[in-house]
Order: sequence, then C-alpha cells, then structure tokens
Amino acid sequence: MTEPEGSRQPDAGRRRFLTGAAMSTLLLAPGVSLITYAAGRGATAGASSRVRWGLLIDANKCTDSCNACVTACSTTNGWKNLGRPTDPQWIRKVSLTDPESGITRSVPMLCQHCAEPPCVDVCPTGASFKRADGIVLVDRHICIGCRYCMLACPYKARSFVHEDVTDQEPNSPRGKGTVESCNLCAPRIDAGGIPACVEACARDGYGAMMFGDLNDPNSALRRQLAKYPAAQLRADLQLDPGVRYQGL
Amino acid sequence: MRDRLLIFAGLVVLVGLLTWPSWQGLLAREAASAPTPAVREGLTHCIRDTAWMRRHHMELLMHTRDDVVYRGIRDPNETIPGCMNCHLTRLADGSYPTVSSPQFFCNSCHSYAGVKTDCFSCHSNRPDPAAAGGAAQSVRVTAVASRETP
Repeated sequence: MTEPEGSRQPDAGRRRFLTGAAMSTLLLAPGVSLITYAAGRGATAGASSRVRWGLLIDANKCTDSCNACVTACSTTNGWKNLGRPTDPQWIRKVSLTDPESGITRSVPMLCQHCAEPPCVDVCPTGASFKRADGIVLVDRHICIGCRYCMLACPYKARSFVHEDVTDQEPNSPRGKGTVESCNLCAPRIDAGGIPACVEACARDGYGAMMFGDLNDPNSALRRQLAKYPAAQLRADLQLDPGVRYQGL
Repeated sequence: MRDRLLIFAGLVVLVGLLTWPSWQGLLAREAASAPTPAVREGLTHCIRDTAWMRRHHMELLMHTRDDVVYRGIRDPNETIPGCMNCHLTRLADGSYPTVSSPQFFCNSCHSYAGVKTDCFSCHSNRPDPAAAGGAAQSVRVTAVASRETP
C-alpha cells in the first residue's frame, strides 16, 4: 500500500518545522533566562500606583528644641551637615514667626513629594522621577549634576554633593557630582517599614509626624486629615505635595 | 635560487615572530586561568551559576539596579550589599579591604581584565548588617514597625 506522493509531503514539511522549532528553542533558551531575573527569591513587591505615600506634620506638637527627625535621617542615610551652606540637608528644621502676634512654630522641612514635581519637569536627563507610589527620587546613575532641579524646587529640598563621599550607609548610596534629597526612606518603605524620621519623632520626639497612604480613605493619615484642616506649603503653585502641615 | 632553503627558513621565522602574541596567548591560557573573586569561607553557591556570573554579573547588576531604583523591587541578595555579604573577606588585621585594594574581591578579576568600574564612588563597600549571612530573608529589622502610627 503506497500513499500518493502529495499526501506525504505536508507531513515531512511539518516534521522539519517541528525539528527546527525544537532546535531554535534550544538556541533561545539561554536568552529566555534573561527575562527571569526579576523572579528572584525574597524580593519586595515593589512600588504600586494604588498607594500614594504621604506625611502629615502637626506643627502644634513639634517643638523648636527637638531635632530627632533630622538626626535620625542623618544616621539612617549617612549624610552630615556641618553647617556649611553647601552641606547636604535631606531634612531640616525651620521656624516660622507670625510678625503680628509673635507666635512661633517649628516644623521639619523636607522633599514634599509633589504629585506635579517641578524638579521632574526640568530634569534634562530624566534622572529626577516620580515612582508609582508617589515618591520623588533622583536616579543618581544618570544624574549629571546640573542642579536645574534645585533651582526649580520651591521648597529648597534638594542638595548637591560637592565632595567625595566615603563610608556610605549600605542602603543609602551617595556620591559626588549628583543631586540628592529625601527619598521618604524608600528602602524601608519597600521592606514594609516607615520613614526613619517618623519613627524617631514618635520614639524620641513629640509624635508630630504621621506616615500613611493618601489614597486610602481609611488610613490613619486620611482620618486625621478629615478631622482638622491641613495646609499644603505653597498651595498656590498647585504642586499637590504629599507632605501636609496642620496647625501652621 | 641556491638560497631557497635559507629564504624559506627566514620566512617561517618571520611569520612565527609576527604571530608571536597569538602563540603566547595560547601558551599562557594553558599555563594559568583567570583569577576568581574572593568569597567568605564555607560558602559554595553564588546567587547564580558561577560560569554564568563570570560572564553576566554586570547585566544582573544593571537589571536589579533598574528594578530597585524605578520599581522598588528589592531582593536583599541581589544588591551590592548582598554581594558584600558573601564576597567581602576581612584582611589579616580584621578590617575590610578598601575599594582600591588588590584584596577587594572585584579587583581580582577586574585588574586582570583591565575593566574599571565606578560603583563604589557612591555605593558602600561594607556588608549590610540587616541582610547579613548571605541568606538574607529578613528585611531591615528597624523597619518592621507597624505603618499605622497613632
């Protein structure tokens, strides 16, 4: 019994195709492994656009004499401010006095993690960027140190590293020639924690800082925002900062 | 035409001399292999296959860099402090080698291959105490406090 020539030909063609496919899979397999990088063990889930991290600072609780948040940030992130005008300042204390009544309030000033960050708008290399969860960061791998972002920021939140840095904290790389600012302790947040300043304020200070999700109507932060009016600094600029102040 | 032997002998010597670097390379490869990076005692496995790491570790570094910086996906084993946890070995006096020291584990291969890196002008060359031990399943101890502050 012989099959007509025409009916065997497609089978042979299919077989050749399948063999070829198997061969190319063997060739491609090492390349495919490149895609599986991200599936590492014990990796954090990453930034989600469902949340927007923010801070609420209660000026009525914060005092002029306390510096706990600044100290904690400095230790955690390994920067030192020796009082020179060009020294780094991820967070600083500012005092505000009403000239009429003479009443004084002291609050921490840091990157406001704007929803519409002007530093991101002006960055020529794309090093300034906003993460999915609203944290504004500098990718110092591509920062060229032009400092446009420092000029654009109305809060003076950023600083430039002028000198060689040694003995950095393992989780907080910093280096000469790049701009840096508060990262809202992104490494700690990614690991499920809270920023070092908030932790220190509750432990050593007066509990004037609250960290939470601005998108979640049931978060402690949003409940507190609903209770008392809170101000955005330079609200006229419509940057929608993620750091809010009560009692100013 | 009487010098034919001499001419050909001379040509062979000339060609041999011109291709000497190649011969030298072939001979050297048999004699000595590339250096291997230092690793803490008692550890046998890297986060990937050793042969793969030798060729592709820089791609892994670049990939995890973008994951960490832009997407917040952090695997404590696959960060530069994670490398330090296993590969950084103490000197005789108990201190860690500096980045420029030949004992620093990156330098053993990088000086051999003539490749310069600038990772450590920003990154710390110390192990991360929060991810110590190589099998860093624990997140930063100080950071596990509840997110809801009163």
